[in-house]
Amino acid sequence: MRKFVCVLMIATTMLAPAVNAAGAKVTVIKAGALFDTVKGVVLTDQTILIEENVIKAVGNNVTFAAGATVIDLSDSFVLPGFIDAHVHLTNESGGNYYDNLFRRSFIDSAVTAHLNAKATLDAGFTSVRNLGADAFVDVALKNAINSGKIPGPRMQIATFNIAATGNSAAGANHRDLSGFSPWLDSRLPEEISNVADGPEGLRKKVRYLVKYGAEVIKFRASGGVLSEEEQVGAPKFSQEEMNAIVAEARLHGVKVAAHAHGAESIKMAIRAGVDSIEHGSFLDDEGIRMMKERGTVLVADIYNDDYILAEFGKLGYPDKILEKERFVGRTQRENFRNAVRAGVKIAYGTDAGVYPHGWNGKQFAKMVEWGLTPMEAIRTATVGSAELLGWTKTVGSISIGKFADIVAVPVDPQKDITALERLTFVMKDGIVVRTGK
Amino acid sequence: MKNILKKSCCVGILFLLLPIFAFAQATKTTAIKAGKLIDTEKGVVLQNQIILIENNIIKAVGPNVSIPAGATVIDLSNSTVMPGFIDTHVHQTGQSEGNYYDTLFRESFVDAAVTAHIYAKRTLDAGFTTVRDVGSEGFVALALKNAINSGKIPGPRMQVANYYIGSTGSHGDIVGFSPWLASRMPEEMSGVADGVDGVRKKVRYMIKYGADVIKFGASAGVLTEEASVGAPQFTQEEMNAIVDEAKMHGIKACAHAHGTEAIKMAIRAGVASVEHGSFIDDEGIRMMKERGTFLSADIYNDDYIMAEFGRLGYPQKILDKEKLVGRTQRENFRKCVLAGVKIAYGTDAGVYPHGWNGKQFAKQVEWGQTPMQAIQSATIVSADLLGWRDQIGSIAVGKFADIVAVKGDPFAGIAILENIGFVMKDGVVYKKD
Repeated sequence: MRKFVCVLMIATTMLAPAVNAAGAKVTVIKAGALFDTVKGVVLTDQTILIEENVIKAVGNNVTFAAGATVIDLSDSFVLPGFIDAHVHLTNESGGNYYDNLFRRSFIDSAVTAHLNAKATLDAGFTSVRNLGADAFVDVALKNAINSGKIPGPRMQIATFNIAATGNSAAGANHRDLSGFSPWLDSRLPEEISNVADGPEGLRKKVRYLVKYGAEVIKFRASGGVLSEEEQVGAPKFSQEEMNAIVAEARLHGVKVAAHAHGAESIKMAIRAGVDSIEHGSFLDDEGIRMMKERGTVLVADIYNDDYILAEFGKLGYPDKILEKERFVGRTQRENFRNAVRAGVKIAYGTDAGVYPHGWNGKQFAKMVEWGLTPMEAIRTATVGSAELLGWTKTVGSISIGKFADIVAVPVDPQKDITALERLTFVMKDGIVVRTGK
Repeated sequence: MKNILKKSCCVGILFLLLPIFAFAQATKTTAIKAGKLIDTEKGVVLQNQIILIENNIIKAVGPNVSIPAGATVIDLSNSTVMPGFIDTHVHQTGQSEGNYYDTLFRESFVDAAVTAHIYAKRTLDAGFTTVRDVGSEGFVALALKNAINSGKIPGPRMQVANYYIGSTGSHGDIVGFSPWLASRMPEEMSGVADGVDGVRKKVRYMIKYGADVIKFGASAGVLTEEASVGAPQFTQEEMNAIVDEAKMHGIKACAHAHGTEAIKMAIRAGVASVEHGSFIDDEGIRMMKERGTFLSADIYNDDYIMAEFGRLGYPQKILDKEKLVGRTQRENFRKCVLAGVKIAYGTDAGVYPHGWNGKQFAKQVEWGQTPMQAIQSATIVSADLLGWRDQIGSIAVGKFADIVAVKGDPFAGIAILENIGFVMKDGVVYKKD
């Protein structure tokens, strides 16, 4: 009977446009179970009323006018769209190390970036924080998505990932690749780059990136894994430099994320006042205490180690890079668990682009394996990340006034967290992006 | 062969069968039953043909081709089946749909790169399985071609010119603005070049970075602010140098040319095709016939430009230039058709929306071609211009399986080709209504 009613309603909406008196398109979702990510509880038999792209009512007694488009998810578990706080949508995993460095350019990445955006959205990640892209490709991608030309998640973008001389991520800047000839140069204009040094140089770099569209500032407080500089964890900016980056970003009302693996670089970044520590691999007890005190958020990409070790050798990455990954992998997960136990704020960030876009949901299971409950893991990818992005008013929960970014799955993710890798429904901005498997 | 197999020991048979098995696994056989098939080489329509395709190659065509067991059969017995179309003049990486100033000064080739795939797909869906991209910035068309050829995104086969080569102040430059306005692009990353040495170096640079064809501006243009629409913009020596240098690399050259004199200079230089050809005169027509120069005249888009570009904020002087060209170009196109000049199909897609490429068929018929001639221009004639006649342009044994179809008769109404219902490229079906 319920199916019959549902079919009848859909038929009605096909005949008459599903608009209310004010001319707004009205959509109703019947949710069998609904994750209230604000309170951390699951509600049953909820109705979500959506006008155009905004949630107007949620509850078990919501009434709606005839003619609304009704989406029946009464057999499903309904959640707010997920937020990945650490992606590189304009990077593609795979491809030979040298081909990627020297045969391809940011233009090749730009031409295929829409595939990554779509894969991410289809995986239920309706918002992302893009923490580093070459040559403002992220600006172009965001603009193309927001203008409706291509499907993709909401994007908060950093443009370039700011790095000291000698600390660029591989591929970011031919002029500053570690491990290669000092005569290797780039034809990009010098300022169209991620490299800056000194408090004044860094202030200018922050201004330049904000001028051309950065909504968050990302800098590399320590060395990294996937590039050839020797140390993965050593600090790469002085305390004064980190302070200058954060202070300048604050002037513009922009938050700051620090790539930091090493224990000391993490503490320096926290002292400088960053909003989030990315990776956090060698985070020690003092660092954990500092993060708790200051409310610094940890964004630890604890899924991708498995992928890197399985795949990157095949792609011709030098041994020294693979050794750095081995060095980081397990320790990062153990320290993630330490941070969880201590009550550090955790956001969901996966470094997608290092591993294939669209696999973002695979980290849920890792987070549960390493200390979070399923509900806590879900909250990191919703309210947790929304808070870090400064978007608590618009995304992160199914609440009145927020954007209708909604996902669903037929299996209870509290019983099987991997179910979140296999969503069957994705809506972004009131528009159904995907139904079915 | 059978006897040899029988005599072999079991192990031997196993070893022999393994590669055969692997081959059988890898070969995909498709058979298309075509109610009507347009033979673009002979200019005739054949009835009840069967096209046999192995992987991406046409292996047999005829009324009595036997379909092997296990083949995928596509029934187009109620359709008119043709080779995939070829547009020899597109700008696949962008589309004139935004404000004049926004497009010039707020956007860049990076924005074009992010959205180029949309236009590639629309072109393919319109039945154009091959295009010649005659001008893009920042090597975006090359990246697009690579992404298509690697299978990452759907799109037509592409020949790319990279940048449009033009002289200082030409249609290939930015004209009408402050001399203090500069670009942050590296100096060599542009199509602007002057002098015999300069243009030779520019051709070498384009080819070094992947140009399949060289495009240069023999005359002024319409959609830029230089005063003239037809005046020559290179000397005869410069044009000669461009074409000569391209030929050294085994690459054809095509010339953007509206003006009467510019057209003749380009023909004398030895270009493979004249693009636009708006003010061609009788002497120019005679020269094209003598030398076998192709005309690629974008006679559809005038209607679109006049209807839309004012709204996009294009300056009046540009709209006035278009008025000067529009009808004359069509009249001269007809003269070329009547004189027997080789007509390739080129539409300047990107100036008007990608995917509308088929709208020019009706214009070509309105201005002098038979429907069969218009179809041949977009298939076998354009294939000839691209130097790809051995690969595309007809449904023939050994060619790529680029095949389109419509449910209806294009000879009863050519406009049916604006809505292609079936598209196969490289043996893969991309569209089937």
